[in-house]
Amino acid sequence: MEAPLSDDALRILLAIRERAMDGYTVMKRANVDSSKLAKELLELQSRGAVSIKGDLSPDRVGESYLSVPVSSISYVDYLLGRVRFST
Amino acid sequence: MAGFTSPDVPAYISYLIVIAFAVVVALARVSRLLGAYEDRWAFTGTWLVFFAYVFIPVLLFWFLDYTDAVHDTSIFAALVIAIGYQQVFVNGVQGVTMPGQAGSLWRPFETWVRQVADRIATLNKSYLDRFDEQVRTLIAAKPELLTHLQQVVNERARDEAAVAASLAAAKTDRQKVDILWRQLRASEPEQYGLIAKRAGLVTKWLYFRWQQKGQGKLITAAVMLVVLSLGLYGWSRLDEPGVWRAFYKWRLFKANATDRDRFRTRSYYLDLLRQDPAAGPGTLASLTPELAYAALTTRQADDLLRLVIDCHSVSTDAATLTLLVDTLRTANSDVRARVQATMVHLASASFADRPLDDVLKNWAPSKDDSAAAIDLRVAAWRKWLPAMTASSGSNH
Repeated sequence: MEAPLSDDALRILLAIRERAMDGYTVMKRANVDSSKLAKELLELQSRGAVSIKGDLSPDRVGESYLSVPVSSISYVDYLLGRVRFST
Repeated sequence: MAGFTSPDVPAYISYLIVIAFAVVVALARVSRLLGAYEDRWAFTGTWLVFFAYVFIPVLLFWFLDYTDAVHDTSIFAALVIAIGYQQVFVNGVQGVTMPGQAGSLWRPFETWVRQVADRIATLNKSYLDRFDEQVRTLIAAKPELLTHLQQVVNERARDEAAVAASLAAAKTDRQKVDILWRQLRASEPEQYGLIAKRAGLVTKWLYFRWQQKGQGKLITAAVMLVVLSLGLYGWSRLDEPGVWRAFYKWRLFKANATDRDRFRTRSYYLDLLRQDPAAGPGTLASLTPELAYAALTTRQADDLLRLVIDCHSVSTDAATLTLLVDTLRTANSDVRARVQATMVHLASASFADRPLDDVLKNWAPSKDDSAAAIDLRVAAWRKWLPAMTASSGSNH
């Protein structure tokens, strides 16, 4: 069982799921600072939920390009609670 | 689905249906997979994915017809494959199953689509960086632009003192531009391009190209123009006799054509041959060489030889016989027997005054015929033919 995502991570994921965008836009939309964004992106990247093009250091994370990988669209929708899997 | 009851339409209609639905499905798939990327149509990869999604069902439709899984004249098969080809690839659908391991081809295709999406993300990042770099270089080279940028940033800065402190630490104009540009992007991440353009920091062309999806619009327009030109070129060539003759030749010798399709093909050739009987041998000249193909089925040979007999006339039979004589050399004894019977019939019907000798007339080809024996009969036909050609010519 995966640990639940933090609220910041969910807001970040929600923004990136809507469309691919740069880190500055994500910071504004998710209302997080660069340090928080860099930290949560590491977590999301480890789960395969985001693709990060660029530097993750707090002073450069704004210029990185963030997107949801094509192969993870369904998984991200699941993380966001948009779809539910039943057995 | 080969035995599936469905309206039977000309194959070109089925293929057009597949293409039309495939375009719609391809647009939907590209939107779903790559819709998150801005400027997605500005990338060659997107167009390759789009055209792959358009042509895969067309190729699949042809392949399934070729392997006799469906008929390419079945309107239902066309619809099922155009809309549900992914399902056909992955699991098959009732009545349509991929032969052998062909279904496993879908996985590498999906991997390729993922790679294209990743490449688009990489390029988008690269384009954003390029826009930034061009703008920063431009501003750093002109002190008045730097001052202007500073004003624009200060108007929007939450902490003007912090910005001033950062600028004080900068040693070069370029470092100042970098600090100010990042401030602008952070404060107005979705409008910074427009703000910079309105402030005169960015040229209209740069803004159009990178911020207004100008590159995407231009590439999309170029691809549309190419597709439209190809479509119009194809349309303009549609009336050329060669196009339809090539199409119906394909249908005539198609091993698994439906009865309705064979009837359509036969009707086409009957119309063609009856409209201009003198052109008959010219039309048949493109078809009769197929009779020498050893793997030709007797059904295919019968379809062609029926046409030959149904449209024969005294004025053209000498030329038709000349076309047929070499096909007697086919390794397929069944087809050879049919050709021989057809030739005897034409000779008897059109040249009753010059009867064949009994040995030639009564020759019944069999699989035991040696090459030498066949050569003797061909030679006998050739010996008889020149006289007929001459008398046919003198009759005109």
